[in-house]
Amino acid sequence: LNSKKKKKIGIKTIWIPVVVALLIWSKLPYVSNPILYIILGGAGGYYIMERGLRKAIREKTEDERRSEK
Amino acid sequence: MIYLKLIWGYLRIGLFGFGGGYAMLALIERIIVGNGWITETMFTDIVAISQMTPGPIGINSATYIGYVAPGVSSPSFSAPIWGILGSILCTLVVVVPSYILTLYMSHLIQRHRDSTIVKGIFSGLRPVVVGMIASAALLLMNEANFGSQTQEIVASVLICIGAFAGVYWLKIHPILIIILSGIAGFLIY
Repeated sequence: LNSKKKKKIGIKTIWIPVVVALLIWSKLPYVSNPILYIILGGAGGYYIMERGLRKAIREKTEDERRSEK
Repeated sequence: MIYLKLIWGYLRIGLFGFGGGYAMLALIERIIVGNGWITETMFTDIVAISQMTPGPIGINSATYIGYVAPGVSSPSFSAPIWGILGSILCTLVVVVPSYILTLYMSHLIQRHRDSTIVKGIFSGLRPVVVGMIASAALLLMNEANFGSQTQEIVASVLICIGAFAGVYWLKIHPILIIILSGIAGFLIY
């Protein structure tokens, strides 16, 4: 719980540590591999950030077009 | 052959051991117990030894497993010299990748502090690291730590809840909690 506070995990992302912890603990083949979640976490974080940035740029461009009109 | 397996195993721990000692525990357990180098009970003992000795748990376990694993794999490697060789190899293999990565990452972060790639990767890794720490806690709630008889399990769960409440809500220092838990364990058992 202290780590949760330190890592600034909010209501939208709280499910991630819960799912990761349970899947690693389950010891099921493939899905219990911690390396998988490190790679997925890094790639997923990058994808979400990139998508958010693209969306912000698109919205800004549309706003500029509207103001020009 | 055992040395190659040890190098490959600890290379993965060194490369993917994000989030510090406790986040690495699940990965260490999967590799060393999964390969049959040690048993679940021995793993719990290593965690306890690593906590009692100075230094990070990843390095301590590498030194210990490197020493023990060759002898476990084959009786011809039971001489101490093979164990020392294994210890040196495992410790180097677990330290060198993270050393190089940290060196490179600190340089990279300095240069690309506001980069989307760096920010995105770290924001994705944060919740995963918390999950890995939580999974380490779940992994350690095993028979070796909590006992097998009902009375033992109940006493262990009560000590566990008490320690959690003491650290999290009452803000008691963890060292004091360890001492108090030891006294409780001595009185109960």
